[in-house]
Amino acid sequence: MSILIQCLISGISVGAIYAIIALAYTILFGTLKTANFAMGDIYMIGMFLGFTFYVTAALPFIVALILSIIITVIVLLLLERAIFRPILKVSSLYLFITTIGMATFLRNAAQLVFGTEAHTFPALFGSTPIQITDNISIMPQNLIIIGVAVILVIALFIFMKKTKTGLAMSSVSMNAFAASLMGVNYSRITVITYAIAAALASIAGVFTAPIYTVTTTVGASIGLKALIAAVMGGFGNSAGAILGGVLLGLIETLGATYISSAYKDAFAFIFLIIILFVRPQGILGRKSIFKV
Amino acid sequence: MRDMFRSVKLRTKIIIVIAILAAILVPVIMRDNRYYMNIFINLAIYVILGSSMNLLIGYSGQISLGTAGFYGIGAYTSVLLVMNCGVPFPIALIAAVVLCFLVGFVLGFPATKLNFIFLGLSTAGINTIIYLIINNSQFTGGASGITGIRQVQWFGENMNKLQYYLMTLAFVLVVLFICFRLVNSKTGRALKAIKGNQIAAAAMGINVNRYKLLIFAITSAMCGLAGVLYAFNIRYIQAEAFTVNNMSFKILTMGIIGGMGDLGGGVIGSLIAGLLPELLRNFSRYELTIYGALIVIILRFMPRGIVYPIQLGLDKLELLFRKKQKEPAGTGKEV
Repeated sequence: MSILIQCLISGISVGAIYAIIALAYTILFGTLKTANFAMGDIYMIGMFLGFTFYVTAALPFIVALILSIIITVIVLLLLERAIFRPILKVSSLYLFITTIGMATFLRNAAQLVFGTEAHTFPALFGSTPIQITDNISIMPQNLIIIGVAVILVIALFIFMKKTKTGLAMSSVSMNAFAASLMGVNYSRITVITYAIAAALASIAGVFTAPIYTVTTTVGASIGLKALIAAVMGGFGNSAGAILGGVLLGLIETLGATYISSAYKDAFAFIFLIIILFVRPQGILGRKSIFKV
Repeated sequence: MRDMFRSVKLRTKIIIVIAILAAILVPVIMRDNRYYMNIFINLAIYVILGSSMNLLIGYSGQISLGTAGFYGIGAYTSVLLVMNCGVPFPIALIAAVVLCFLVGFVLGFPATKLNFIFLGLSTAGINTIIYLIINNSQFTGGASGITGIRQVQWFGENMNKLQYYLMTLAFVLVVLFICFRLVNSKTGRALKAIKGNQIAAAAMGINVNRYKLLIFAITSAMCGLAGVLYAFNIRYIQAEAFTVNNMSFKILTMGIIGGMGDLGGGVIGSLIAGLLPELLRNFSRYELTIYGALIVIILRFMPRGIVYPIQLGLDKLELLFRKKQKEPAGTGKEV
């Protein structure tokens, strides 16, 4: 029983990480209807920037966090302006392929810049686990991440529902053309959406750096899992991203503990494939009809 | 059948004949250099892989990040059949290709109904699952793979590299011919319609899912064939060769950079993507960086692929050539 509870706790901890990055994917897809495969590597860049500022440059944590958010946002906005936007005008399939290429490029270029060795990022509040009972414990860093995830979700929700920009984003997500006729500045919304996505990825990167060691390959696996989580929950649906993230974390942890740890990565995909084949719009997604 | 070739320009026919002659003659001249022969064989295998991806993306608008999985299924099926069951190579090859076709068909049933984002993700998933099974099973030799794969026999003797290359080239030509027939037929026209506008195509009575499924299964079989040829050339296979991040991505690059929806583009793209790592041997650690950059740059600056500017150049040359021919007769000025 205590094993099960421990599994649930670590599953939710991992799920919270997936959920933050899944939110980044989902806000991009929900608003602009584009899937950016490279978000995992944007997350990795955020992580490395956080590491550079916090550990190498020994800046205070909050400064390191803000700097890494700003730089990550600038990087993604430059990529958007220089590459993604012109390609989207040609075809959204091409954009998807481009982001796959971009992901591979960023990952391997980062390896050339930062090297292949893994760096450790000290945990913010120490690395002694908090004992709940004798056999059940949780790392302080994981608690922080769960807290950050909750704050981000609430902040994002308020932003989307209460601010003018958020409402404009919702209208773009419903019908971009009609929204622009109503006076919504589409390219401004695009920039804001990308900025939010980059900020989310970067926050996730800095806060999860103590849990995963800082390597260039971390973005590939975590980013892919987060994309799976976003798709599972219902692509473009923020609540779905959270649900998908937590669900995926639980499935992985439970599967690895009770079935086989060698196949840990397979469970996520098997579950994804089952969901896509049974309910292609995701768990909470609304069905889009594209039949005759 | 003759009608079909009539649509091909004389210029293209000349280029194809020259290309085939070069593909036969250059390796025959260099047959003593094992290193170069291996490169030629790999390039031929890449052409099969790249053409399969080109067919999938360029003609049916689908995407697959699971091609390396089928490549692996082909390699492992044929090797296990030959090594463990003593099946002759040709039968093992056919069995592997048929198996890949069937797996592609079964997985394609639900997969082809998804849009390209979900399709990309679920095919990456299928690839990862195949990789994990290969890497963790006893019968595939686990992570250390299978070594000492028997050489292919030719009239009771082991095939040398040149013979193996010519066999591979024969498969390449057969595959390209099948692709050519496929895209210049009723199926090809239906695919063009689907790629243009899926809903309109369905409204015209085209069974969209059937055609997508067909192409998905055929490209899976092509990857399987490439896998068989790869395994019996290198004679050592390992799960690492069939991952999403390396191989599937490489195949994607091959299919795209030449020019999507153009068989020649697929071939040229595969050759370029295949030759690059050989040319940049000292920079092998940059390989994937370069592939990633290639995809981004090509799609950003020439979305029609590398062949398109070449075609434009040839068009201009032809025009110049024609004008010169006509000028003495004075017809050029009258018009």
